[in-house]
Formats: sequence, structure tokens, C-alpha cells
Amino acid sequence: MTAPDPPDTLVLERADAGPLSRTMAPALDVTDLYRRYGDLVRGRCRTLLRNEADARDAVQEVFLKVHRYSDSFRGDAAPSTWLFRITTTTCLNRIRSRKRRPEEPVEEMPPQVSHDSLLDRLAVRQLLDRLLADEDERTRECVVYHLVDGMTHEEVGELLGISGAAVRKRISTFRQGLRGQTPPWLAEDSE
Amino acid sequence: MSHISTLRLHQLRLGELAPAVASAVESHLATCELCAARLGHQRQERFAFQHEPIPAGLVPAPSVWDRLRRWWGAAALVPALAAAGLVFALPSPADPTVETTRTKGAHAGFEAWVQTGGSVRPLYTGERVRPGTRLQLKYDPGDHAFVTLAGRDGTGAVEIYGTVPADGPGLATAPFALTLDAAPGSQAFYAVMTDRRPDPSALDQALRRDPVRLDGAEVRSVVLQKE
Repeated sequence: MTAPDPPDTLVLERADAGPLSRTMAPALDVTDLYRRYGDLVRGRCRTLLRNEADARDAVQEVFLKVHRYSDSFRGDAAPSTWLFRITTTTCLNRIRSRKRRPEEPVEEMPPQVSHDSLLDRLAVRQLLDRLLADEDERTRECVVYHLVDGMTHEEVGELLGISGAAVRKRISTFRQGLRGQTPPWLAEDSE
Repeated sequence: MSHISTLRLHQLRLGELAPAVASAVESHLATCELCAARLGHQRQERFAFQHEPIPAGLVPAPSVWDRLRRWWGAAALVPALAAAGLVFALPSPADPTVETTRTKGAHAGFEAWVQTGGSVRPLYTGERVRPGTRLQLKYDPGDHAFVTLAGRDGTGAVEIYGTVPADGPGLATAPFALTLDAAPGSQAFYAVMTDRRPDPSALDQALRRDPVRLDGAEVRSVVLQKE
């Protein structure tokens, strides 16, 4: 819909920020989750994926997963944490799948488009290319959460269910693999 | 303190942080232009998001599994049917994971689908629909490059929902759903297929006339009667 307000005779379903129970483990309502967290998921997809169409598809994939696997939400973390991780995993899987297939021409989002990560879009692309080429799944997650999102080692560890030391080690190993060809985005790291 | 993580900025915005953590984050934001700008970006995205409809595909219909469990209350029966290949071979019409039929070379077309209970079916012009009816528009752009979806109610008020690039011939689903309210009268929906992105002013004028005609465009409509 393009107009800011719908006419009285037809009401488009809108995304309004209604309050959502913090203790929602017993029943996750996908529509409520979308209303409250859809922008978080979409922004995440836009940050990690290279074009709008891919991001749109990924948003849908994330919420379908939420619908299918809502039983796995234990309620011991905020839904935002749970969704952030599902979205990240979904995007990384999509990028990996795309790399396995013959490259399809895509209309990439311009690098200068702003987003809320610590790295600019070009740096995110370079980082993901590097990660997808050489690193295992867990290291990819550690590096993305730390370098792209600015989480501390401990925060990453808490999110992934591993120790902060294990996260530090994986990121350190990743850094060592870049020796002699340190890219500009690595300088952004502050921990 | 290093920069604030993206997730934590979201959680601050959503009011999900403990007071002490929120206070620390806000102190950092007062002195860090980068993090303040990142939070500002999130708020802008939120503002834009709030004014968009929920894509119909994000509201999953009950799965065949769910329906069987609900109807028969015998979950034990479902695995047996699945084993026999009878359950998961049945596509759910509203399941967004099921691809819509694509017929190469088909002419442009336009349909309004309604979801009532667990079933989904197309509506035909002249059909009466109840308040609260949830509609999903589907269109086949044929060989046209753009599709504009619009509506006009019984008072003549026109609303243009948006113009989307076509993805070749075949039935496609609009990226939003519509819910009718209780106001009586007709409700027309239009799909205006064009080879170029239409001029908004000309489009608006065309949609106010009957029949709807626009140079170079192919127009399809579904006109419903609200109860």
C-alpha cells in the first residue's frame, strides 16, 4: 500500500507495534511476531543478502520456520534473540546455496545504502565471501555476530550456546588465516 | 565500552533490556555517533515497516497435518496416512511454500482469492462477501512488464496498493493481503498490466472512470458486493 492511511471502506492489514507478551513460550503467533519483529528480520536480511528480492524471500522463509518450529522456542530468551539467530542462519544458508548454483545475475543493493551493522555493505560482502569460501558454519556465525554486529565474545557465546573463550578462539583462528592480506573491515574490530 | 551490538540496539528500541543494561546502552549512545546513527536507521526502518501491509504469505494457513489433527482428533492416524503417501501429497492452497501454477504464454489474468476456515477459493465478480473476509489478489501479467494493483469502493474512492515488476507469464501472488470492513457497497479490485511503470496521475484518473482504461494497458477486474 502506498497511501499512509487506508480509506474507511477497505482496511489493509497493517503492521502496528502492539505489545507482545514477554512470556510467550506456550504459543507463538506468527502474525504478532511479524508485526513486532518483522522490521528486525527484514533489516537483518537486507544487511546480509545482496539484493532486495533475496531479502524478501528470506523474510518469508524465516517466518515459515518460526511457524514450523515454534515448539523449539523455550521462552528463556527474548523472541528478538531467537529471531535474530534464525534469520542469520537462514541468510548464511541462502548465500551458501547460491554459491553452489551457477551464479544468477542479481540486482545488488548499492554498497552505500545504509544499514545498522558496524560494517558498510561492501565490507559485509567481502567478509561473507571470505567466510563462505573457507570457514565452517560455527566460525561463520561467530565472525558475523562479532564483526558485523558488534557482539562481544561472551554475547556471541551466549547466543550460540558455547563459551566466550571458544568464540575468541574461532575468531582468532579466522584472523590468523588472513595474515598478510588484512582487509580493511578487520580494522573495525574493537575487542 | 565497545560499540553496541545490532541486536542490543533492537532490544533497546523494543524495550526488552533490563533497566541497568538499557541505561548503560543509552549512556553509550549519548557519546557514540556511529551507534546513534545505527539506532536511528532502525527507527526509520520501523517507521516504514509499520505502514506496510502484512504479506499474505507470512500468515501460514493450517497445514494439512494440523487440519487432520483438528478434524479427527486422532494424531495417531496421520503418520499412517503419511506413510501411505496420502497426506503430504495434498497441497494446501494457501501454503506459501507451494508454487502457484505457471503457464507459459498465458494471457493476462486477475483473481481475488478468499480464505475461509481451512479452504481457499477464487471469488467471481458479483459475489457477495462478508465483513472481515480476507482476500489475496493473484495476477498473471502475461507478457507485460508491470502490474499495478488497485481498488475502488462504492463511494468511488480509489486506492492504489502498489506497482510491482512482473516476473513473466504465470500466476503470481500479491505481496499483501486485504481484509474487508463492514461498510456496505461494491468493492472493485483492478490489475493494470503495463509495459512501462505507469504515470501515477494518469493511473489515478483512469481508475476513477468506468470502464477503467489506460493507454497501452491491459486492465482486469474483480467486482465484489459487500454485505
